[in-house]
Amino acid sequence: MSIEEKQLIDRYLQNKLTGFELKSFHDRMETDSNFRKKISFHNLLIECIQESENKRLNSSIQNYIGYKKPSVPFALKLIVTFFIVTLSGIVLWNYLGPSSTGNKHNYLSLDFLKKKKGIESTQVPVESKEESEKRSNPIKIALSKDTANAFVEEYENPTTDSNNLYIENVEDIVVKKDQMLVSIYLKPIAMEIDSLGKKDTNIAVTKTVSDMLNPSADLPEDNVSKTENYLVEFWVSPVNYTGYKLSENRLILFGIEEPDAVELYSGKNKMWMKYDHKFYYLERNDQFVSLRLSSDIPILKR
Amino acid sequence: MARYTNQQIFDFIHNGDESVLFYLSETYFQTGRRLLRRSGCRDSDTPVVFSRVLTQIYREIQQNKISPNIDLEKFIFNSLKDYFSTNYTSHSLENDQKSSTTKEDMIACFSIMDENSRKILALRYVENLSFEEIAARLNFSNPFIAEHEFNKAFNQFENISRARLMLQEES
Repeated sequence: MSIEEKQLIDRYLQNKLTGFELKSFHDRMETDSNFRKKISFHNLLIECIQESENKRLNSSIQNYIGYKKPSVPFALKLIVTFFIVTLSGIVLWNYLGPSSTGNKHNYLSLDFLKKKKGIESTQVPVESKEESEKRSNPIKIALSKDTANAFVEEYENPTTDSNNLYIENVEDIVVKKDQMLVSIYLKPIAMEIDSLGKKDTNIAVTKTVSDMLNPSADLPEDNVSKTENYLVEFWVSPVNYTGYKLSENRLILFGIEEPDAVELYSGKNKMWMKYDHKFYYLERNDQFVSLRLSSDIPILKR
Repeated sequence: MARYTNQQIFDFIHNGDESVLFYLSETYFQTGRRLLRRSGCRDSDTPVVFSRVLTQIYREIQQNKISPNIDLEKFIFNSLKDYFSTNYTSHSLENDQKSSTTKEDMIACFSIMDENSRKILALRYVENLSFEEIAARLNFSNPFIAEHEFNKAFNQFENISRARLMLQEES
């Protein structure tokens, strides 16, 4: 194919032929099949050049983008993210939330879920009257929440009334605990007058000298009597326990109904408590012991 | 990365600077990918669709089919949507990649030619440049040399293709 023919075909393919030139070109195409083949081949060559260049550009763009198919599917990423957020939420809730127990080693506990289950499981079924009347061994239930006297009530023998009370309160089971009635400071009354009198004299002399040396210092006075005071706590127990525990400057008493009637007496390394015209011997102890009457009463003199 | 204006981008393309395609890819690919995904395109197919659309736009700008006053960003995204809605199925993409054997052979023939020949043929038939423009682009002293080089390259391509087709017919 000559150069002129190529140029003519190029111009035809670019729609640049007009008028007589275009008509003669069409006539030649109709008559000359070989010429048609040449045009077709020429057109194919041009298409291949264009397509090849486009492919080159496409591949260079794709290489530049550098897209790689992610190895982890998108849905799996979402699921993992959801679990991470949920887990961190649980940890934060256990650490900072209002139901936090302060137990730092228990971040991942699902207590807030367990609580619901617990509430459901502790629901007490309501019994019918007939069933409850058939009970032969009724259980004592502490009925009153408000007053401490209810705790010190003595055990009453089972009666029909108590059964009725049980029926009325079977839904409100209250677990009673030890309860403090009152706490007061009590100064023990010294029983060995001579020795304590000397002690008082010494203290008085010391006080007078300090006042003379520094009268306007307004320093806090060493309250000797205060250190001798005992903090006496009066407690009641739902099982009517009677006893005491005496530690340094602190006395815990159980089962005393009238706190105002209590008086403390002290001697040489000994203590007594007077209550209800009876003397009880008090001994320092780390554990609760029951009250025992003192046999030294006749010896004590005020 | 420097931000180019429409006019600068068009100038780059008219001067045959292909690096502006990388700038466009970097600027618009991620948004285009999300757009295609929302339209239902598979994530792995988005680079193929995007590169084809970008090449198409590049050619249209080269052949002065697009005005430099258009909003290029909107034009690219609208072209992506159009291309996806008209041409895309994963099956059609695969078919596009497997074109006819004759054409594949001729493209292979073109790819084995030397770079200068390929370049001059591409300037002539892809960018539709005149011999004067080709001479200016390839630093020839005059357009006749460009025409001569072009004819030489085209004859070479034609001969290789014919030989290849004859071998194929014989086999």
